[in-house]
Amino acid sequence: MFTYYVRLAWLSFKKTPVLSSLIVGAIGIGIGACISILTVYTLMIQDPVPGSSDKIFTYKLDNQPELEEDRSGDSAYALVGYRDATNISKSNIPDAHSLHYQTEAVIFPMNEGPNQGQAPFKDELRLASSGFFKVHKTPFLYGSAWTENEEESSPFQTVLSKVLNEQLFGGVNSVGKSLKIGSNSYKIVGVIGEFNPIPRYFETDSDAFSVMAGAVIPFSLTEQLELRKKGGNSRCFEDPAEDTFQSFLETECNWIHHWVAIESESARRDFKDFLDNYALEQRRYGRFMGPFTHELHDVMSWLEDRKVVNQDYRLLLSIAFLFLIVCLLNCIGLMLAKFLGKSGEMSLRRAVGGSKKMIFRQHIVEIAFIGLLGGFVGLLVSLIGLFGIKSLYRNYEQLAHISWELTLLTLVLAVGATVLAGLLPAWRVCRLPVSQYLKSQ
Amino acid sequence: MLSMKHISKVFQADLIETHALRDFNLEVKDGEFVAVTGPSGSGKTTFLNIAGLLDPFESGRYELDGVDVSHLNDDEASMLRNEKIGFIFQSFNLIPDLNLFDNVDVPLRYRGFKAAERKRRIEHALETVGLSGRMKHLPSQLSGGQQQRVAIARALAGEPKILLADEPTGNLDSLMARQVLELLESINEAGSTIIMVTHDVDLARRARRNVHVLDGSVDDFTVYDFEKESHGFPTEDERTTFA
Repeated sequence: MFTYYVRLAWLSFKKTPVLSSLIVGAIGIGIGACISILTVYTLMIQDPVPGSSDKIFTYKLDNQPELEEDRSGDSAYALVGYRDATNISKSNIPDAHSLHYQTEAVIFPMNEGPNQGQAPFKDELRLASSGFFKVHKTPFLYGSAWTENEEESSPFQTVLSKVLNEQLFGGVNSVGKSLKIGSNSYKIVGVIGEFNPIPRYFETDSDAFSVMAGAVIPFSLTEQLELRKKGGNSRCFEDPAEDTFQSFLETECNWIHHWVAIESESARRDFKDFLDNYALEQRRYGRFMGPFTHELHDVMSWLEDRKVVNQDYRLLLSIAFLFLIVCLLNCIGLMLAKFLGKSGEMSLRRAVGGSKKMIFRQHIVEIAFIGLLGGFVGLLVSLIGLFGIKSLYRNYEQLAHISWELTLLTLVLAVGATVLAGLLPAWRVCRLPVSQYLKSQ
Repeated sequence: MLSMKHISKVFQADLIETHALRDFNLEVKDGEFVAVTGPSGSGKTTFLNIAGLLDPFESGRYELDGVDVSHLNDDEASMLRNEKIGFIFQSFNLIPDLNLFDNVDVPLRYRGFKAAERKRRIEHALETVGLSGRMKHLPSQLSGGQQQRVAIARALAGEPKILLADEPTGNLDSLMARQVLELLESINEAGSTIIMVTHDVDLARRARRNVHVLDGSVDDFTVYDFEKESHGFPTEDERTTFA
């Protein structure tokens, strides 16, 4: 009977094409709006490192001088000062330490191959310790990162992002080649593969949803090259005592990201104790005098703490679902009109032996059919919506695409929501007074 | 075949009660051809709807082919309707989007027959009414008489025990009406029980028994002795009226 009902659904659709299209359109628009917002929201709140998010940690220390009347907001502690980062990175409790910060530099393309004629350009530059690649599990397309020893002995090495490698070398294996970054020449030792955790949890102070680009050089070059953070957030509680870079490194300025990899729960507790003890020890030197409780965060609690998912998006998602409900309520009226227009036929079917259950099933199949069509229209509307989001917000380009799981969800949601809305019209048409409509047809 | 005893039916509209049937009694035997006549509002159609299990009744007892219908739920009543009863309506009630084959197929789908069995029954039914060559036609492509014949085929396809016809020739001209009536007569001669509601007295005389309904009850009924019939319509000598 199912295929019979599907055929009847198609005939019914063709019989009232305008009314049927209105219902499909209403469902499609409601579903499309929902799925567009849900797509972006889902990617925003997803675990960026599934399987590892509870084994990667960062911390917050309160190094604001006590005498400061105006205590800074919480964001001041999201980053760490150079002195504290390098001190704490000496702890051997974590399996690896990742110290890094972003800046920018001028890249000088080699005048050969695809780079011929390419002018120098500014791009992202990250200074990162060798542990960065281990902690954040960056995959490598070619080569590998420098080791801890190499970071000290031969620091002028670089790892390119996939984007930069494609731009400079057409995506081929560039390991072994030289690249001038700023005033220095670096040996390319590796090219990172697809590495775009969404959100970019380890740099929540800048755009957490854009693609990671640029190059990475050893963190140990900070002092030698006198580089400091550019872009994102940093907070300094005092001016350097002297006008030197070394003096700057010793001020209470928070600008470095410090992440650690810790496998076991006991090691996590040990590291928290280490942080507390470090803070207590620094108090002897007149630092860490504030009341703030030092915190250790894994990836998901960090994203929550940093409010990476804007509250506005939650509100927008709620509005989108409300909009869908309004569309479905409209569909109830349209479906009632459509089904009651077939009162004569339904009465005839009842008269020749169709029970109320059979008539109800027939209409549920028709409603599901309409819902499925609405789902496909909804997918189209979603794609248009996401295209609009990409056009308006370039940084959301990574977020604005529909996976096959969301495609399936769209169709299931469309069918489910439409069937739910159609229960009343289907029930109503089953209860028509049969004899009345047979006589009057 | 059909036994109604002391059936009453009341329609309630706001504060007004309408007694459509009062103490209605009727027995119809297997193979009978009964015409039900009466003025408008006498209860003929209400009787037919109750007979066809389309409307409930307030009191009384109704047995259809030995089954007491009083306590049937919707599924049971639908199944009984599908298996035992064939309907023929004044306005044909064909589904306009379906071709003749699919129209006749409707009751068979609800019976749960396999495709091959349905096909056999549909072809046989359409052949009986003389429309086997038009299976793929839509109802809009047929005349009124042909549409009524399709409706008869639909009613026959399930091989029902009883046919209920509500003014089957009401929308037809005299020629088509005669054709339809001759078809009904042949169906009756083949053994089917037919109850036909009609205003047309002449038409009613073609049935072996006429039941006259007045104010919701059976007023009188007339039996025609067809062995004495000469040219289709019985004469006064061939009628026996019972009050």
